Amino acid sequence: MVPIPVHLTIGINSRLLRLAVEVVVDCCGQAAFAYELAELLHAEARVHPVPYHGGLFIGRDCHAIGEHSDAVCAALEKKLSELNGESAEISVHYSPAYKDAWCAWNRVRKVLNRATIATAAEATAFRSDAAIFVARLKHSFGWLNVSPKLHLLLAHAPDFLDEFGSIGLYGEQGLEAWHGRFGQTAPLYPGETDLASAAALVRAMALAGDASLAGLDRLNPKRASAADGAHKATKAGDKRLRANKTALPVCDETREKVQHERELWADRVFAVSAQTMTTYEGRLGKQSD
Amino acid sequence: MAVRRTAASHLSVRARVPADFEPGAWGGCPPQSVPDVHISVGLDKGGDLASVKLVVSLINQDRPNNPSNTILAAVCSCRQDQYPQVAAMMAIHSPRVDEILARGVDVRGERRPVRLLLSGDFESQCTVVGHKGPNATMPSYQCKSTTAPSTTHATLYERYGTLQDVSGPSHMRDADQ
Repeated sequence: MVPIPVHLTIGINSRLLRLAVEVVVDCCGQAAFAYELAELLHAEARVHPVPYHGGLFIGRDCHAIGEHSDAVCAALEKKLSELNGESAEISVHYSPAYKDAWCAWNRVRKVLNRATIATAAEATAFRSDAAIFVARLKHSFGWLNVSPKLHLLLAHAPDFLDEFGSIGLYGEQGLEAWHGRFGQTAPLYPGETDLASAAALVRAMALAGDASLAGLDRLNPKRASAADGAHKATKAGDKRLRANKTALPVCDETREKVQHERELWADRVFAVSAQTMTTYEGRLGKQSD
Repeated sequence: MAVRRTAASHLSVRARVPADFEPGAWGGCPPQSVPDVHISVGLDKGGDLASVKLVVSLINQDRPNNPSNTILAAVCSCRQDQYPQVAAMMAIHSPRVDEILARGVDVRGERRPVRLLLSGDFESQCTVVGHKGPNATMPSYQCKSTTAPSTTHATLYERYGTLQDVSGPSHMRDADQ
């Protein structure tokens, strides 16, 4: 039985964001950077944490954050450049190391999540990038532990990619999609209890399990994909560009809810970061005694 | 069944399944030189009314993650993680899984062995195989190696050596042999 390395993107993306907060906590102990980071991600990458999955950024938001990692690195660099004295000396090597970590992770992320067969060159580069990513993180940020997800990325994901050619094809998206489809379909099969309703749905699916030619024809895609670059804006004034679009109105309640989620995320990230740095400093203190 | 060629089968494009093969002997892990069918069994909790879902996917096809191409095998309503109920669900389906592993699958008139993969989040995978979760000696349920030791551990390994398998195969089935 072979384990599939899934849910790596959500975990490692979250770890990298938390790492920026930990660096600031280590250098100056400010909590405000976590809130600044949440606002920055909302403004630049237009992402917001969700109220489930531990209040993290999930799905496409992780990729949007990766694409806007320059903004995160710039914000950290700016924060560290404001420091003086001993803190400034400590922080000198953090900013380039953090930028390198994002660069390596962005290279890894694209192969990790792509639902196509990787070429031999991509698989070799993936193995190298994953090793560089974890090794540099461990080398530059002494308090960082190799979590199970980093371990999976370092030790098992490259082997999986070599053996099966893809990791994205073996993802859990089909499994996750069933939560939504079940929520929509189960009410069509009423029962005395939720369990009876679910059983009725599974029974109906089992009876309809033999796909007929008509059914297969209905499921087959009928439209061809658009040509490469067909929907890309070619002029600066193109209305497809985000900068040229009129902002859609958002009701106050939605705005407040999203703001609340961002604050909760920042609270959690700062609390965990402070705990991590306290533990690390305690460990350093014991070693020096 | 429209079987798409995976990278593994791409490498062994000229390989064929031996006429007298016994898929059951491979226990869901056929050798790479043999064209196989990849079936993943995943377990996950979610949804608006929280429920655990057991989903079976066939990877060797176009769009393997499309819900129309996957099978919802079982649903269990729950508000918290209740493993006895999930274990009861798995117990119903495990004979079917054993059967398919023992017999293989017919693809275009040729019987092919099945490779079984566990999907779902890490906790559910650990629960299915009976592993308590990541720890210092077993970071994942099939791995006995400490591939990325901390500085302290690396120093200790260098000085005293280690009983952990840090250089050989990382699969539990190999380490146990």
